[in-house]
Amino acid sequence: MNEPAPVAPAPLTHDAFSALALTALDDVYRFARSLTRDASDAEDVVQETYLRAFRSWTTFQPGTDVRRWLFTIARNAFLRSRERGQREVILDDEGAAAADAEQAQEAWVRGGLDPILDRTDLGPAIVAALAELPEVYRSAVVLVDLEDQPYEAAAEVLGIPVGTVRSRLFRGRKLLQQRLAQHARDAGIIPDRAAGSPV
Amino acid sequence: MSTMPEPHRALDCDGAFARLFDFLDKELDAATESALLAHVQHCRSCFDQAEFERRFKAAVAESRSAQRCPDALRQRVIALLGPQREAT
Repeated sequence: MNEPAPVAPAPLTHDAFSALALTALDDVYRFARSLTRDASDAEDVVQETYLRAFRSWTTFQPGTDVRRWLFTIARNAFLRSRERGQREVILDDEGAAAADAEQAQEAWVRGGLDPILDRTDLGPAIVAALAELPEVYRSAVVLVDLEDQPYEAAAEVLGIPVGTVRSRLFRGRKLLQQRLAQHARDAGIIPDRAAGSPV
Repeated sequence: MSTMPEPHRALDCDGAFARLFDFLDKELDAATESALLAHVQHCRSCFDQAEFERRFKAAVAESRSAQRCPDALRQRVIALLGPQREAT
């Protein structure tokens, strides 16, 4: 039996592209918040992202992931907005944060978080804890864990090798667990007595 | 190129942990995934670790709903469409 020949996706109209791009607005906003850690700056990045996307929509390949395309534009827009020095400061955080993550008090963190992970009201605490991570870790965790992007897509968006995505994810998740445990303890969700004290 | 070790028929605890996050992120090949599952099914400590990390990842994914694009920004983005449509 003959296999049908592959059919190239039909070209998009401007209206069809616009509708597709707007379905990703929440995702692009979340990613922009993760990059900027500031609501106002995130709104600027989102507007710049969509302005660029609507201007160059004919370069988008129909049938590919529009979120991946928009995340890449958002990341570039963010970097351009931070060209004067800020990027170096953010990247400098990596060493300190990595050391911090490596010293994670695993037993304390896991023991404290384990009973609360199924709570339905944990979202705001996770968002707050994510905001405290250095950008290099935050971006990787947001792309893979919130936006469900594969490593290869996250690597393309962030302009780093897949192996670096993997290591940033590992450290970022451990750091996030620490921060979340701290938030939960401060909010009284995890009793100090039950979780024990960090070393 | 992946920095992960080559898959083995059987994994010890260190090998399983080294591949745990790739497994949870659906980045493992079938043979390595089978080896990891075989180890986790017989190792209580690794099972507990895997289950904790799986639940943590699910909780982080669930936090998506706590952060949505504000309506005012949505309207400003939609307004960008007008001039672009006229220009094309």
